[in-house]
Amino acid sequence: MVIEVDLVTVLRPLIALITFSVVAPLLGYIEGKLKLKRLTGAFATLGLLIALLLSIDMPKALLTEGAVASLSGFGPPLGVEIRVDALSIFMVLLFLGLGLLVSLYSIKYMEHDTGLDRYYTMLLLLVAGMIGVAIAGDFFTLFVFWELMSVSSYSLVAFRKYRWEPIEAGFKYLVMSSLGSLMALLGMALLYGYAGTLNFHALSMIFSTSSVDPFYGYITLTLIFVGFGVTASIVPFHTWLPDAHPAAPSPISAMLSGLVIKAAIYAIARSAYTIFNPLIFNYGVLFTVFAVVTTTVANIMALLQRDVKRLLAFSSTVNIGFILFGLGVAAYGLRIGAIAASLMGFIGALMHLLSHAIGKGLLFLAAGSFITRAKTRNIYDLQGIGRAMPWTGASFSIGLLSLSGAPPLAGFVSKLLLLMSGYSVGDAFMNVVTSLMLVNSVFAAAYYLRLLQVCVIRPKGIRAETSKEVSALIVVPLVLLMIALVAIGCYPWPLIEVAQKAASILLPLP
Amino acid sequence: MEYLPPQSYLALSLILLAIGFYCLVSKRNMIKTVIGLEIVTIAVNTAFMSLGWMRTYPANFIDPLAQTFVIISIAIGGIVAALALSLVVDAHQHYKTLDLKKLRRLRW
Amino acid sequence: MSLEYPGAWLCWISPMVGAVLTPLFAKINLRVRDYVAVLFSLFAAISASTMIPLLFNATPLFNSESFDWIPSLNVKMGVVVDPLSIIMANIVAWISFLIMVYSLSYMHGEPGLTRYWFFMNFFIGSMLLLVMADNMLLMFFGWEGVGVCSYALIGFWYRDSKEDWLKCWVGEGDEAYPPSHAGMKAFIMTRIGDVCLLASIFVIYAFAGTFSYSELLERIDQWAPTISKAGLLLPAAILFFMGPVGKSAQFPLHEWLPDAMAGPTSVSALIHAATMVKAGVYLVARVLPIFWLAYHVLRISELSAFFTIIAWIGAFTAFLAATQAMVSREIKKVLAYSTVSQIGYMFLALGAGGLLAHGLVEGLTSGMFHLMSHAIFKAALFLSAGAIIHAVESRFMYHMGGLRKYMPLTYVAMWLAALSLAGVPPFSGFWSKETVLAVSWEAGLLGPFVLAVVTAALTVFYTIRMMGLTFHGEKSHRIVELEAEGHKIEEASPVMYVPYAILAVASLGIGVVGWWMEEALHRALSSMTPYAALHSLVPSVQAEVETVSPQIITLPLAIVMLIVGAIPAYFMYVSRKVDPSAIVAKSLLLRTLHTFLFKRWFINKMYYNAFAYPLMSASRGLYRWIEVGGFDRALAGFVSGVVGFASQFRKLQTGFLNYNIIGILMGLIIIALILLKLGGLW
Repeated sequence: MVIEVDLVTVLRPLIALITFSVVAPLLGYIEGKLKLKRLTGAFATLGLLIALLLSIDMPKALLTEGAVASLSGFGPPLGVEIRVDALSIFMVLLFLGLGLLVSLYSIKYMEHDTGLDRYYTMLLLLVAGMIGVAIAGDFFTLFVFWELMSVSSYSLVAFRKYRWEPIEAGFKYLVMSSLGSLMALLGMALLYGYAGTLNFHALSMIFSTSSVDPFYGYITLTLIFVGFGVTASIVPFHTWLPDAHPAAPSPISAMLSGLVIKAAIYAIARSAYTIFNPLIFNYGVLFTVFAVVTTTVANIMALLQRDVKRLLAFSSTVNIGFILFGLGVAAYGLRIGAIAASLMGFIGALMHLLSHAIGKGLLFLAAGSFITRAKTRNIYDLQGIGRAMPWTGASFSIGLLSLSGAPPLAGFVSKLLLLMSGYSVGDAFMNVVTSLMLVNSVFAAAYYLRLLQVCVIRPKGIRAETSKEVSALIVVPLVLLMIALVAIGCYPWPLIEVAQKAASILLPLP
Repeated sequence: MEYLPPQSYLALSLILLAIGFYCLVSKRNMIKTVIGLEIVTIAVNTAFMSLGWMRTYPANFIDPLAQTFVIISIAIGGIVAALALSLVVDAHQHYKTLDLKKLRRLRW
Repeated sequence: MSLEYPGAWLCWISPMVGAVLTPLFAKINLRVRDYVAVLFSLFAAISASTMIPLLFNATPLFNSESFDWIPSLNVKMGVVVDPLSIIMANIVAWISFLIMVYSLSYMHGEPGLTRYWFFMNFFIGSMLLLVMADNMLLMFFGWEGVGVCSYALIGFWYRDSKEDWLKCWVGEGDEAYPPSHAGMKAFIMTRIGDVCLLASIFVIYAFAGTFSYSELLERIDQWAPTISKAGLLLPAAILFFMGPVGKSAQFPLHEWLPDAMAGPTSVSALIHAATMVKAGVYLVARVLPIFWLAYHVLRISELSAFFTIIAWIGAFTAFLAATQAMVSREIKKVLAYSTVSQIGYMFLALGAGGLLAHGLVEGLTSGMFHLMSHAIFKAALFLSAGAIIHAVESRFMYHMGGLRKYMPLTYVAMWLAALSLAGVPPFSGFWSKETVLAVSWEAGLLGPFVLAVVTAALTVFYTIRMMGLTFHGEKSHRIVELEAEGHKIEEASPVMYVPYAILAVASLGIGVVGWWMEEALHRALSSMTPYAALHSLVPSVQAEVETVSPQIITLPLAIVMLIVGAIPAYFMYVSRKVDPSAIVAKSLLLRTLHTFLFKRWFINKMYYNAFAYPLMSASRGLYRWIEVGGFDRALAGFVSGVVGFASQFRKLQTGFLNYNIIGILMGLIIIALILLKLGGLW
């Protein structure tokens, strides 16, 4: 069921964000003239808040009915199309919510940096780009917003360019991610050459017919999977991530690990499921195999890390593996007729996307406030710092526990769903793969708990002795995220319902 | 006016793609890496155009969507190139070299 | 929502709140913490007292007030307000308060007092919850709560320091145990009973569909016959009784209580004399009407075995513990054995009451009367013993002696309480013990009656022995040494002696009005609605005419036993005209008997050899061969393997951009190949 809605209604948050991002440099100028600290930050936060309020305003029918709102300039199949369904709303609210908290955190955290006007402009554009990705109804729109997102994130990684690390990491990120985008673009070109349209809906119609050339389809799928997979940091395309995420300022790390890679995995899910019907194209196995490879490799890499941010970055790759696993189960299950398992896998993937976005965002922000006090990223130098900074320490612990899958936190719910879906498919291949994922999840819990043990449980180290709690402006976002983790863990049903709506739209259920 | 058929442009784009990849894989100079990236960009854009044209060939007409897309893509390529070059400048200031082999302090 | 009986709720909730707040107040100020903890217990006591007027209401009283807890299982959370619970709650709450006051001085300056106050208040709350709960499940929460507190407080001096051996260990020779061991022992032994109790509760629930006492009573004609037909009534009843056996330290689970004396004396007085060990008696009294009804009205004859078992276990334990008390050398251990022995009397009364068709109220009255008088005089005895131990810094009676000149107030107070324990008229102990003997005589339980009578003599003997050894005779070497070191032995502080003086005087006071007290209790307990109604159900009650008052036999017997026990004890220990050790040394029989008694009938030893040591060596073997040899080594190997592998693996992260791009291209090709393979195109 498609509801045509007013263009402005859907685009309002996007328009607000872009307007604010354009005005932000002006505010930066005023800030410099008036010697008002934190003005731009407050302005950007306000912009995100407005965008969030506007997007909450999006038609409620979309969530309750699970409907699709679509609009177009030239009219499909040629024109630009915006398409909003339950999945898009899910992603948009996640992007805006976490973006808002990150921006709030940045006000105090970044106040000693120069060039804050650029920082907030880029931050707003980053969020705008991700929202655009989430509501795009065709590849053209998607690509444009994708590049908006990518370019903002390149420049944000290299924001502190007076140090060597962001430069090196930013350059690698830029080259690899651009190359990925180009691969995706090539895939889109092939799609266009074959179907003459880039509209998701029209493409899905064309590719659902049995007369479709499978060779062409698979090559295209490969290009798109690789293209978005680079940004999503699927092994073996992940090598930039452990450099880039730690090199960025901590709030940006939170954005990148929390959201940008999620936008990429969203793009994979959206393009794979809408265009390549899993009943015709067999890619569930590929997804699950790459999920296992990704989690395993990243787990091994993370295991011995001593740099707290680098460890968290590797763990992001691990969790991308988990999300990919859910997507794989969904495709695989559909193909062999295990509909319930397929649905559960998709819901699990979405829930894990959410819980990891919140959890990893929280962890990077908390790690950031540790680092501001202790002036080190080495885990063993941070020993016992959670005791010196009780609020940050508490939220850091909750974040770690959630990621390691401890009940009753959000990570437990999502991991449980994922593993249950894998086992409920019920064939030998899936049982093996799910068991591998289970082993990996235990493995991951090992280094999360090591981090927890060193940073929070052990007695205070030398650096922790001199550290004290950060200011309230930084603590508030942390505590809010912590509450979100607990709340989702205790009462996930509304979100699971939304995820189910999203799944029933995206998956070609019989 | 006679044009070569679109297949020839596609072939050209594949050649460019190969050159670009070769450049990215083998060249250790950062500027050459950026050049390689640009070559890949051009190759992909050319591929897009030629694939678009293949749909309407033999008419001398390409769907405006493909043209719009490619123009925007070229613009984006320009932005990325500019950003990449500014990073190259910064990298040179920090490392006093453009050799990618030296630019590997971030490991494990 | 208005509460009809706020006192019944407040009395157990407020100490729990106090317990939770203790760590908070400890942050403010240590003295504030101490006083606030005591205040909470006072508040509980006052709350309990608000229920006393209900006892004197003319109307019959058996009410419960409850809220849904787990509605789907018909589980409610409620309090029962009847004479039984009101009397018990007041005894518990007021004695607790006095002991808390005593603790202020007794425990002064100890490290870890926050823990102490927390567990004391938590104990009071749990105990009152146990008493007030109107169903067995809620009762079980309190039951376990007191168990935990008992464990934690016995092991309060958990450091088990060897220097304080004289003060805080228990036992000597190969039966000497440190506090933490004693706590563990208490916990494990009572746990055996608890598990049985829980099993029985669930068996009854499975048949009756309710945990509530009142519903069990009302619907007895529905569930009792069914469960009896299934052959489970007697097993369930006996399992149920195992809970009280464990908690109240009756044979065969009595061995933990003497060793529980390793805890601070205030804890011994509160938990192991006055309150927790009475929980079993209370629980049996609480369910006695249910089983009594099943036996006498529904004529389920197998229950006679249940009541007989209660009576026999009670009487036997009374005798067993009394014999051990005669030879113990530690003052607190004498008192502990005596507690076990006196609780045996209470069970005897309850069992006998259950057997008698018209004796339900008599049994309850004598059981509760003895419970009450024992709680008071035993608390007084323990508290004075604590004062003495404080003074001479030793728990052994041969380190005392001649203390009456140093601690005259304690001397008087302790004698008052001791006479009550010995059953000397007109002290309260005399009347209550007398009723127990009367009920058991009426029930025709000859064996238990004889044991009880003999025990009466033994009780007098060990009581006078304890008093004599402590206060009379010459100063011991230790006191001389202590004085030489400049350590002054003097009267305890008022904060300490006032509580036990109050208790001792109360013991005398209740004794003076003993006859009237028994009548009042009898009236109050028979006013419980169902009980009164129950009596009319038994047809024989009206017909039965009391032929001979049992007092005609029991009163003279009690007096005779008093004299039989008192005379030898007086000469041996008070006037010291006869040397007991010389007598024992002369006769082989007496020597053997002494060893037998001193080694606790070898029951303790047997338990250790049969259960504790084999289990420990088995687990030690498991630890050495499986845990360390197997798992640990395997784990260490696994860990070093993983670490080695991971550090090799990290070389993959070259940080070299060209390689990374090669990675992308390789990935691209691999994915394309996999997909084509999956699609069957290659």
